[in-house]
Amino acid sequence: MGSIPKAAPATDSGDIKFKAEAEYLRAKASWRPYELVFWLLPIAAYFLLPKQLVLLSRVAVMGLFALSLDLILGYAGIISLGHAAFFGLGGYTAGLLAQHGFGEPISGLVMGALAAGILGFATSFLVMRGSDLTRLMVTLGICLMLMEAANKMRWLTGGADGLQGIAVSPILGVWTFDLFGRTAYIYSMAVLFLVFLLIRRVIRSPYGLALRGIKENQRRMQALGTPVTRRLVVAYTIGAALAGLAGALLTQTTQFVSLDVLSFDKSAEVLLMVTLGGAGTLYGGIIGGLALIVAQYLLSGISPEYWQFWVGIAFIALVFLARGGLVGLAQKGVAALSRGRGARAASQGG
Amino acid sequence: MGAALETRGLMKLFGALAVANNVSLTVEQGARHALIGPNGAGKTTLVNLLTGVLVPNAGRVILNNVDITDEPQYRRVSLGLARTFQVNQLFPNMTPLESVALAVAERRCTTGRWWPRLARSSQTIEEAAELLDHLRMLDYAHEPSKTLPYGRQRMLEIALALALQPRVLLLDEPAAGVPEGEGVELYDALAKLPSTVAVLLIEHDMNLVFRFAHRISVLVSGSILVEGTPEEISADPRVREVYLGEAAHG
Repeated sequence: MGSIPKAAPATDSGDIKFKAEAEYLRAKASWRPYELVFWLLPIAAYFLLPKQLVLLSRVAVMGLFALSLDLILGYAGIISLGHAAFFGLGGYTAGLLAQHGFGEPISGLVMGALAAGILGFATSFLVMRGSDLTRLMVTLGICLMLMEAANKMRWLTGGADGLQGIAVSPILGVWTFDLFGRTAYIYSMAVLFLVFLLIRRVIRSPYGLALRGIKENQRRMQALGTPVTRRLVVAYTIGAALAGLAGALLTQTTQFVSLDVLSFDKSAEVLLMVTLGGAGTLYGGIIGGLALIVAQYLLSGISPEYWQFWVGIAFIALVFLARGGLVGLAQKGVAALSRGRGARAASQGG
Repeated sequence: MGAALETRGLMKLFGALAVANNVSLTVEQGARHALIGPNGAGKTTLVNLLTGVLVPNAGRVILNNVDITDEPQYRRVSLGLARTFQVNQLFPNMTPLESVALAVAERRCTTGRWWPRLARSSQTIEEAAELLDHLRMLDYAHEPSKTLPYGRQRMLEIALALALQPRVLLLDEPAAGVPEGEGVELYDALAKLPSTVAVLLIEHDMNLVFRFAHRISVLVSGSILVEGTPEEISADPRVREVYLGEAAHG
């Protein structure tokens, strides 16, 4: 095997220089203060907004759903208009289990993720073929077919009426779901946080770097010897499984599931959340989910019929003003602030 | 030990046009071999046939005694065949350190792993840093690739291929677009390539070819016209006619 000859005999100073590079990347991947602040907010919200816990549980569920799409869209670069297929399948799986007496929540989540993961893996080969436009059509088609199937199978899914009689057992046999949604809130936030940790870890792994590489330049990745399709299939499957987990979580926390979870609107909504928050930023999906749900809540209070109009206006404005979504906007703001501070310090110094 | 890379009667048709016409080329172990030819001679097609981007209509490609004609692109890389691109194919938003670390991780077959953190793979990162240092790129290690000066981007092209520690390296016009006078570091880097690596250089820049290559093949209209040492090639009247003559006029 031909090896790269060392430029100079490996001196101690050289070794230190190279170790410093590893150290640099390690520091770059470490937790930032704003991240800690971000995850303290849900805890603060529990005490400060006790009347909004049902709404905030929805934010957690949709944030989780958006996070799963961000892995596919923002990191792997696969565009999908049918991500609700996995969300819905996970939701119905958990719902049917609970309806038939298997209401244990944790295993329900796992089964929801498993079912969606299997569907994701099976359909990934269709999705991998072709370009962005065909991917849009294929993902959309799969989701529509699933919705129609759920609609026709009334005996199983309850059709348009939704799945009735879902009874979820206490979490770990201890915490019962209460009327005020406290348990549901803590449960969904905890699941969101754990999944976030998982995805954060994945995108900082060598595999995560390879995904970034594929998104940035597929030709080069092929020339580096990456089995590109295999890598993308894994990402798509993980994203599908996590969407199924989000769907299962929705069913368990609302004790209801209907065709709505499989609708085109759901796929579009989650895509909007990721884009709004900033794709490929890890926090973008959660922030976009929060922004959209809160905007929906506030605006529908002001004008019940036209709230979508205002969301549309805000979205267009954001696309023009900040291509990287809300997270991109915040990053630009921070950069401008630190530049300003640097300039002030310089002028004071001089 | 046989040749590092060999093609036998390679054919590629685009419709009725034979862009590779019965090409038999042998690159010896550790060779410094150049492939030259006028525009449209089929040089890039040949690179694509060798690396597996295109499938030949007939003929075989043999890498270190292994027939790789039917292997997909990524398998050829793991068998020791690396390439650079005529037009930069970089990761625009990744830094050179990240890019080369990715290439090193690919070679070590660790990019399928999604649990260990990259930042803990010290060996991979240190190897990437060492290679960048070797190519005098370490000062640029943390800047996004898209912001690098063009000459540095060309060097990063080579660094990405070298990180794979290939047995055979295909350099597709490494000097393309590099302004005169800025080629010094490139020449330097090519001169420092490990002697165990067989290099096939596809190039327009005759200065570089005659400085670098010990053996030259001339490709014209999809066929090998002649092959020989630099002296033989520059003295060959046919080559003068189709190639050097044209260059002298142009």
